[in-house]
Amino acid sequence: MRFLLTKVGLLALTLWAAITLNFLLPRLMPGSPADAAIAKLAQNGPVSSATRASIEAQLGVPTGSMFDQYLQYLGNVARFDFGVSYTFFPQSVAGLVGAALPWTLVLVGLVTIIAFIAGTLLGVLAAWKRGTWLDTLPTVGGTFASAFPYFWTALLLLFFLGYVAGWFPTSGAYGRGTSPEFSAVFLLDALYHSILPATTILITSLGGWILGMRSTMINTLGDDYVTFAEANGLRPRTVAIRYAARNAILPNLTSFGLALGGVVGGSLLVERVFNYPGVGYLLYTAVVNQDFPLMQGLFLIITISVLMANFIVDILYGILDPRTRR
Amino acid sequence: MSLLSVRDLSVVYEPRGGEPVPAVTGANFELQQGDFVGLVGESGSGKSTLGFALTGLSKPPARVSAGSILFDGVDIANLSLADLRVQRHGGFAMVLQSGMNALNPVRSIRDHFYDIFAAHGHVSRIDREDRAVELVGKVELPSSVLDRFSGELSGGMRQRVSIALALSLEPKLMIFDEPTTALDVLVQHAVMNTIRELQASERFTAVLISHDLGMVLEVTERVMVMHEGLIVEDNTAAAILAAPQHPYTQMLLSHYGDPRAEVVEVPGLAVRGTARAVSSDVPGREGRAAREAIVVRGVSKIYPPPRRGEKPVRAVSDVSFRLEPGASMALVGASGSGKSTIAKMITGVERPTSGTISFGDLQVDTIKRRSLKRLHTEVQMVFQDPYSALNPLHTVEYILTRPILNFSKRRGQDARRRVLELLDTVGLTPAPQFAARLPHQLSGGQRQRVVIARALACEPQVIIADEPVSMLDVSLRAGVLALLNSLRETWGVSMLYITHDLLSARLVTDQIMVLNQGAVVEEGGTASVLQNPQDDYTIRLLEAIPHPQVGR
Repeated sequence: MRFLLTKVGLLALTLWAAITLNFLLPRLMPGSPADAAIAKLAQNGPVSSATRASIEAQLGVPTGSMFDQYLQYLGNVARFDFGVSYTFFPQSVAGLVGAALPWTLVLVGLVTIIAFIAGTLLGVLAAWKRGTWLDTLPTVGGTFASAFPYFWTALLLLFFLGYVAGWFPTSGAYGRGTSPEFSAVFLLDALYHSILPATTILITSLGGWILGMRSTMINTLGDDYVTFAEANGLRPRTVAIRYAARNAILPNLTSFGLALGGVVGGSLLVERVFNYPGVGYLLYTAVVNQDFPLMQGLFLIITISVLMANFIVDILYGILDPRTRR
Repeated sequence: MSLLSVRDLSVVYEPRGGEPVPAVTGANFELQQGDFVGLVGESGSGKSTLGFALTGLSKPPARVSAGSILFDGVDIANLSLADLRVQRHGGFAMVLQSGMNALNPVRSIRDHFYDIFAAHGHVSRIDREDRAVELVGKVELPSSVLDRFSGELSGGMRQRVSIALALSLEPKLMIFDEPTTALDVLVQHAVMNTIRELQASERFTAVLISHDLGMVLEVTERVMVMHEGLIVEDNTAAAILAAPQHPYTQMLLSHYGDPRAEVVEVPGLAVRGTARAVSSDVPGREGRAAREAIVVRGVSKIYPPPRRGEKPVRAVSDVSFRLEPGASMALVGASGSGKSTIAKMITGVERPTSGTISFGDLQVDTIKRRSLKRLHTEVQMVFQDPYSALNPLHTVEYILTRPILNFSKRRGQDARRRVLELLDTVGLTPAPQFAARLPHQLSGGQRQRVVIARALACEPQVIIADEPVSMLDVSLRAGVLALLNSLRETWGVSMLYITHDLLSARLVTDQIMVLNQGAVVEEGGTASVLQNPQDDYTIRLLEAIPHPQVGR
């Protein structure tokens, strides 16, 4: 219980630090977005004071002391008010991010979890049946598949399965005829659209999990408690799962935490290739269009998701390893 | 019919694509129900390999290549893994060497018992808890350990839990592979007593595998001595003690001595009776003989509490001594007595919480980073574990060249000459051959000599040897101890010798300090303190040493 409270406290503290940094960083930069926009316009000729006033009104010019601004900012964050996007004016940043987040979380998040579980199981099997085809096949196959660059696998799949064979849609998260709603037709359509991007992520990340789990598992198989468990005549399955794998998985949880944290921020490439309307695609759009409010909102979401992922893994660690509970 | 009958058993190591290496060759022996037998040998003698074979635990690359192991009439050398597993209940059990790590760190002790009960189904669900409590009770542990995880238990408790787990199989044969080696002296003694009592009350057949002939002779009735894969002697303990037949047994036995004796003699080491005065006319070469004393005054070291809410740890409290130039002093005590902390403070690795340490004009307790180098040219450490004290990627020459370049002005050919000279000094000849080797190509004793050579490279005045022989086989110990002795006698180097082994302290030191929980409980001349101990703790340490004669 105390372990949990400490972790929650730590999470609250890091969250506050991240939110505060997100407030401070843009203010440490010289100039303001309004100045930048006016300077751009000034290259084409003089800027009238009316134009200046309207730009400042649109982008907002900070008023009050830093502390007042900070309090106001905290209030906005609490209400999920991150302002209005330039690119998708007049849509709010919160609305845009809220619409994109589920796509990324479901596609990339779920596939990352599936890849971790499947890769870990295959790794356990490979180590337990070391030297047999159950070892060789996943190990060599995994290494081969993960050796391809991410986007290259994506393009290959797109070209052959999407374009040449025409089995799968080549872009988007759902077909033109459907719109997001909670119906079987839409869900099936979304699932159909997600197969290619999901396969890409699975192919490229599976090998790492297999190899990582296999090597830690081989180490734990040589540990004394495994030999002792065998000497005590425990069933092979118990020895493999509860003794060897249970300990071998611990170091891999850390990498899993990093991978989970990278889900929201790291989905850019795959979402760009597949025109998938997730956070990565949104971030790409925001950067290309210099959409500062959108970027700031996205950065905050990415930071929070990394923190949350680490929090989850910390808790998982606490459940799985009694040594960390103290 | 005998319980276990081993006939012409051979075990080989078959590395992938390599030549098979014999580990055990043609072992023949029988064990009767209730026997307590010792299996003694040095590292690499094949004793553990034999133990693993007897319990059906041989794993690749080890393989039983010939012969049979009849256990209750069934040949377990040729049993399928599934049959073997079933046999383990009411059959044979093993307690592993490093009992410290024999428990799964993420499962509670209770789970360990339940796993075994579930695997063999010999204890019903309702009886599990009672049976587990009964078993831990047999090894003198409270039932509360069942809720613990191995990380929360001390080394001795963990080893007791392993013994209780092995007992839960209700075995007819128990094999103990170095069950107390990793434990502290006093704990070793207590665990060994538990094993003896259990063997007497439960009447299982026991095989005690150990490198320590003294201990085996003390606790077992019959002893088998192994050397290079062969059982070279198999006789009653009394007979082996009285008249060892094989030269190897004779050699092993000759390395035992009672540190309390009037005169202690070990092959290769000079007779040491009463303390000798250090001769002042040391023929030492210039710059070698120690000129300065290490003066420790009222030193304490308090570490912050390991966890919140706990008390600070008082590792050393109010220790004072003077190590005169050219003298040798032993610092003895069980682990946790603060002896290594003192070594760390003298070498400037740790700072004392209070008190002062000086060496010549250097004030070690407040030493600055810049002066640290000067301290290290004069005070050098020899570490306990020669297997981890040398970087496995570098040749001996490289390892020895580093301190020469660091601490002296020798370069190039001059530095190389010095490397060869050092190897000569520590008895690794022909030196050029040893210089080119990598650590894994050397034996433990040779590695420890390299560690000593490295400490000597900068011609220090003081050597601090932290358990320099505890990881070495008995037959190699004498050589390393003799080397330490000769360094002192020929060159007048002072030595602080840290150990828990009173016999070796007696062999190489003149002065002794006994530490208990950070405080000095007794000090004086080594011979007189050991012959006439005053403090209760010193007496207990002395009693914990196996005495083959006393056991008879």
